[in-house]
Amino acid sequence: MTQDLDHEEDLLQAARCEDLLYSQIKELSVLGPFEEAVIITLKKPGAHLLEGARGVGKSMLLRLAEIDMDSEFKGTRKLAVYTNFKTSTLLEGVRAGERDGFQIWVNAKLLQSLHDKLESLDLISRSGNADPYQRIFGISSVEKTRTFLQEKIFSLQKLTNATDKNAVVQEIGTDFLDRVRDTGFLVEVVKAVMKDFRIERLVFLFDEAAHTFIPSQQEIFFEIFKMLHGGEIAVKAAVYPSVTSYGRNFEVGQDAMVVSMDRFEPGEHGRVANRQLFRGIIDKRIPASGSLRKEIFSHGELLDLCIDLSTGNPRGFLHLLNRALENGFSERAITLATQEFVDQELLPYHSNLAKRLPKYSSHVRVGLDLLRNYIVPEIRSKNQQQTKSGYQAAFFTIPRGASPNLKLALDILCYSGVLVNKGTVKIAGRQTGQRYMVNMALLATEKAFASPKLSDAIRAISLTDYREFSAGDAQIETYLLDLSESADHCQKCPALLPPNAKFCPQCGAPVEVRSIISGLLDEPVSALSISDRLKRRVEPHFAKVGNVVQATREEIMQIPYIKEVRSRMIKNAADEFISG
Amino acid sequence: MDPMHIKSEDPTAVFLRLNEKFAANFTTQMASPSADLSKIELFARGVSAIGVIQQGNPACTATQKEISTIFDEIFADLTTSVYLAACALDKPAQMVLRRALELGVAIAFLWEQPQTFWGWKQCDQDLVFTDMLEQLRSESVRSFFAALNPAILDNPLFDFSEARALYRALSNTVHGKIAQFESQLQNRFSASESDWRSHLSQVGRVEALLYQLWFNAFPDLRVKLQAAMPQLARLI
Repeated sequence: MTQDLDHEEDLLQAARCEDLLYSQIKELSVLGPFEEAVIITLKKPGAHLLEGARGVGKSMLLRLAEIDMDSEFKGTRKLAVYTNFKTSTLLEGVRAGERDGFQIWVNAKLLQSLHDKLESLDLISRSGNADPYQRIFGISSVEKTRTFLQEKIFSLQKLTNATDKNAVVQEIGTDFLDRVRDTGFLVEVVKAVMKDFRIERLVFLFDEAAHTFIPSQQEIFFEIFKMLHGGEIAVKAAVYPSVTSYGRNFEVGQDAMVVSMDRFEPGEHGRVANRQLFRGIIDKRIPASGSLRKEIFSHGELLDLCIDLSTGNPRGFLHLLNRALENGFSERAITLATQEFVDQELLPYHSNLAKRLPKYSSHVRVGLDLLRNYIVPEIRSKNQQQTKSGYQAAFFTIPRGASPNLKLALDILCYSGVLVNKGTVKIAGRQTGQRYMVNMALLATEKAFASPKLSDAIRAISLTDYREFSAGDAQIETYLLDLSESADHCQKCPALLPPNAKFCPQCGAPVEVRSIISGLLDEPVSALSISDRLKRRVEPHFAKVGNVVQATREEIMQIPYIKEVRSRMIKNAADEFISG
Repeated sequence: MDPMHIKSEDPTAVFLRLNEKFAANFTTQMASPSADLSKIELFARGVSAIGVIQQGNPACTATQKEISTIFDEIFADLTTSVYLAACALDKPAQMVLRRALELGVAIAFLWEQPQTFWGWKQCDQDLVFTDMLEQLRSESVRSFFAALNPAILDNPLFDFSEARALYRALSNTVHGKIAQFESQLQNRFSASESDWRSHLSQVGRVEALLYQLWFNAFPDLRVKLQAAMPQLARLI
């Protein structure tokens, strides 16, 4: 019986796009007009940046664009090549001789993705003894032999773990390294392949690259992005707001257009649309008949409450729903689940950013402190004031000219999903300000609403009623002071170091680079974003995140009750943990 | 001229002319590429890849590695069945297809029965399809496979009704049913779009059935096949 429930809930727990099989992505996707429009843009020529916080569905839309183009390829000859750059943090600081390992790795990975796509569409095949026609009938089923790069890719990744890196560099070959490092060479190879296979357009769909949190990698990546794009080659990349560093030579809006994934509106109309979409997601993920479907859909108002509390984030919704189901799916269970979601996922994820973004660790900490200890209490006070309208606030504003440190701290909160940036609005004094919405789940746990009944409170939220904070707000100033005091200082002179500085602006001394990856790999498995049940099963066998990253899927599948679906979820959670 | 006295052709010449006729049928069928054919051919190749995977599995016994050579034979049967059907040699095509189905089921049947395999291999013992189905369907065998693969706890090893139906239809060809004699048909031994599609559909059904059986009998196989043949990854 437990196993039945486990199996029934598998698709509910597969909250990441990577957790799903290729065939499942199309089956389980629910597309509204917004999503369909994004997919059309992703399939078109041009360079685009698909921007949105984690869990909003960027990967899903990239994969859906790919799937559409795969099915149409024979007729249109337009090829989509999806490349996921997770685990690039493993290459932090790796050098291949005198060359930066990351740049070589990116180019090699692009060629690998292209090779894999040609193979998956059966445009290329294995030859020699691997060709059954050759082996059994004595005829060849392949047109010509071509050597591709597969073994070289693995050699590059071996660099990260090799004790004798020089030996691995020798094995790879300096000639190959020089060629693969040159993005011009990459473009030539791609164009030759397009000519060979009569491909009219090639669309690169890049996922999980730009938020690897290692700024030097981000800059290299966008240089490659810019060089690749042009003519019959279109490039799209999924990026996170705020924490993406584009480098000096890449101009957002010019070199690539931004497509925002922010489509959540907390007003009545937006909530109705959101409920329809999210109910559709659940409908496709649970068995057509059975106790689970009955349990969820017979409590429609509870389901709607979960949807509203997820603040328009599909992954957040699935996590919240799973927790609520574990606790018995009642109003009390949802309250408990919301508390758990905030305490065990939302806020810990944000706090962990301090490890992945050591330069911004103060902003991570101070931003959250400011929000929880000042901004949310102010929103609570506002909500508790008796007004004729009975409206409730979930938004606050900061003036346009506010401190960049403050803006950065709030933007990082947007990245982790604690806040949602809702654009520019008019504020007092004929000024404009940036409007932020606080995550509904956080507002609920902080008891920020006047009514104890959450559904009533959410219904009363006003889009135009927000708590405005001025640029010179005294309380905010104290937090900003805390930020400057805890900022990094140069080791050689007392100058304050700006975030991300490579050299001291005063004395020019190089800034010591701290490794991010080793800390992340040493974290316990309990830090992963998977269900408690899965954590309990994995921990006795793989205690640390690094153990899971190093393990193969077959090794993870040796754990009782962990087979294909769950082993994939566990690996993806670990990869996401180290990649961001 | 008296037809009784027309000079006989040399048999070689007759067969060459037969070859021309069947080759012409083949060319006609290949002229309009079929999406079904692409899929069927891919899955046939997959069968061979499965054999390579199983033979390379260090957990396999020596007997199981021998059993794994059957996969290549099934690949050959599927391929030749399609080829014969394209030539409008429908009956031989169906006979070979029946063989593929039988051998495919035999793999799962023999896998944990080395003594039966050696009886078949060296003692001229026969494998009877209905007996194999009966055994695979038994509670004890199902429990055994479910212990290896909990995902099939509440599901059968594969669609036994479909297996029986397919085998029966193909056996009617092998044993001969006068209503289906090719020699009595109006368009006998000529390329027929509907016959060609019908046969491809039948091959597809056999492949789907065998894949279902093998994925349930060998739990890690799907993941390994997806890695070995990315072309199939999206279809299985």
